[in-house]
Amino acid sequence: MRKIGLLIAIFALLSGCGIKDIDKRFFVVTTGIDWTGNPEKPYRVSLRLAITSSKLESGSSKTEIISTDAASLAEGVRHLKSYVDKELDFGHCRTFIMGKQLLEHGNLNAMSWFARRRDIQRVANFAVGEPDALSILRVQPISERYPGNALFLTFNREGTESPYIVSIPLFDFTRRHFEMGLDPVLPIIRTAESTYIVDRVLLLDKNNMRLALDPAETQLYNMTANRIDKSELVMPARGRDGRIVMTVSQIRTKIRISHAEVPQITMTVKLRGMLEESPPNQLGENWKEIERQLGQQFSDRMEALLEKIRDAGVDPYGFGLHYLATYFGGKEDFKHWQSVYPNVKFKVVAEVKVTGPGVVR
Amino acid sequence: MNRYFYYHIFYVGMMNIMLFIPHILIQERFGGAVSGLLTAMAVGTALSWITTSCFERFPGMGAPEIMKKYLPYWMASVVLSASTAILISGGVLALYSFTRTMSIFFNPDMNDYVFLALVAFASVCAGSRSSRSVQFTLEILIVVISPLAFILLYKSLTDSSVNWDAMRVVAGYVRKRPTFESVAAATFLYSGHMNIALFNRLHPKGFKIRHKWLIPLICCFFAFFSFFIPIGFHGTMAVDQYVFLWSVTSDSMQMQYGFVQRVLFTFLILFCVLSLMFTMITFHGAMEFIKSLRPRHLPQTEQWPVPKINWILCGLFGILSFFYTAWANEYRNQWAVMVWLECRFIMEILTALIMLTLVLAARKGWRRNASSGGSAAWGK
Repeated sequence: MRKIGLLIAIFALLSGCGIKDIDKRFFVVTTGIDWTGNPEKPYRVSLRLAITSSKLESGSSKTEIISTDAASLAEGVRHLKSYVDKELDFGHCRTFIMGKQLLEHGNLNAMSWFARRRDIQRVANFAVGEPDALSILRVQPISERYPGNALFLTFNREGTESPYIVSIPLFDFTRRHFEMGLDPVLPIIRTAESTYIVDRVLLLDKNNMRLALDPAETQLYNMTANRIDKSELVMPARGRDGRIVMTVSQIRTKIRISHAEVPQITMTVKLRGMLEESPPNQLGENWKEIERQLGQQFSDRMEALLEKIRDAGVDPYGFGLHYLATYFGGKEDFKHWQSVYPNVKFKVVAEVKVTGPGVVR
Repeated sequence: MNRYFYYHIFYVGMMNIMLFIPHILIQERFGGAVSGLLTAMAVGTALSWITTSCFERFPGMGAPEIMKKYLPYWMASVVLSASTAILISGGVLALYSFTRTMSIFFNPDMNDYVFLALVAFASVCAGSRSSRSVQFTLEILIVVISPLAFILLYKSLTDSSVNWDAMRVVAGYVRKRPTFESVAAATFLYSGHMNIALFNRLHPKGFKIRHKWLIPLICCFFAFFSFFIPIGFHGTMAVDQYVFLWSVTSDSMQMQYGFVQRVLFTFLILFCVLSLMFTMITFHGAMEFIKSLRPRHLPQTEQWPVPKINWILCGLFGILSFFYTAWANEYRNQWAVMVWLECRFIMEILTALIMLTLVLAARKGWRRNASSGGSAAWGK
């Protein structure tokens, strides 16, 4: 008798849970935030909602987009709940897109909403939408099998592994926003017909955008900062037609910072890979020479890029943090670093190793 | 038998995460946190070696029996009541922080008290068993959760987004003087040995804890792990804004091809069990200590059926946790945890000193009531 009573008491507890079933939820797959220019309601919050279906073929993904203007993100999302018939769930939202206008005008501290929500994954990716976030959300890629899958595969390196794609998860973005000597970066998403193009990266200081790298520079940045292999080294073939293209299969980067009054940053990059495209019989004649030329080419371009980044006043590589870490510096050392960073010298040493010309001679 | 002792070291070492110790230390990361960790290493190791060696001299006796035998009754009861208070409040604090974590990350719509009722009920059931059952439950739970613990360890040590530079920067603040708070917080990791005060009752005559060098090794690993890995994930500056630091840190990792992609849920299940273990042991310890306050109490390590007094005492502790939840909020709880950690630290030092004195006293054959006993029972 006592056992039955206990069981009934436990069952009574079970009914009290506030769990909503899956058919009463709307899963947000992409969130976009734009700047409206209206001082009363500066944020335009747009959500791309997944419409679940039983079909599982390419192009069968269906989504719905809702959008509203609000004074803050939390208010916007709260208001959007009245646009739909089901509970909004951010647990599967893997991509957050901020409009370019927002980064020009807005305050990144307003983004703390993301960090506070417990259901937003800290591994959700952040990106900039060009020209704005809503137009990125409106794209319906025809290859998409699950709603919102395309962007998620793009950034997660589960699908495509492009050297042009920089992925920044929420925790990394937050870390870079607050850290001394490490600045945020964001990939830029553009649209073309019914697909996304992600081949540029935007460098920010703590609050404003500073510099957008072009695709070639983005690849260089990604190779050295994130050690992304499956990238390429290119140079025109000397004295002949065509180009020499080396695919990089392995890349190692090491950064050393000298303790001089104005520090010198030495970046040693070790690249290994094979020739994917070259005029015939090029390698047999002067293997070492090609390696040397590729390395020279790479370090010249890298030094130019690093100087460009330095002149923009940002530090996406975390040189400042590395400086502090190397010499166990404190806040005063960081002030010193900030004052000398515009004058630091860069030296890039590239050690290229060509493993072979592929399966042809 | 040795392994039973090390289970206590293990689960207390991991439990620090639920009691906000990484958060407390990280508030002082540019102050005395790192040197506090190192000081705690020395202090904690010394305390655990002293206390365990002292208890080894009294096989089969828990702290209540030893103290009642060699100290005046009023003194023994004061010391025992103080340890009981520490144990109960530890259990209640763990229950509260566990309830908060779960209600934030599992289901925010659910009433906190319903959740607390479920967990408190489980803890009361588990804690009211006999010492032997509690010991075995501990072993089973450790075996069940160890795969999850390994997953979490592996994931956080191999994740490529950990920034080692940030850890090095914080490690550079080792020259700062340690504060009392940071040492008190960090020594919690080493306090697993304190459970011997009760579970020594189960140790047979001639029992010696082997491989004592493992204690500092295990605890150091957990201390540095739970302090530095969040810094690696969130950087030196952003890391102090998270109260539920490790929940957020585990959410920053992902298992791309796992059953659940969010490591957060692995973490929550792991700490669900760990908190239950912690409250079970603290409730059980407090219950046994209160029971042995009776002058003529005879400790029993195996009892079936469970006596009513066990249910009543543990039930009271459970009810206490409801009162605490009604009073506490995030800020009050942090204050309470800090006070608790400091009291616990002082109590640990006191226990070590008292035990040291008692061992010396026993050697000289000095006893409270020399007429009633035979030879000193320190089995040598």
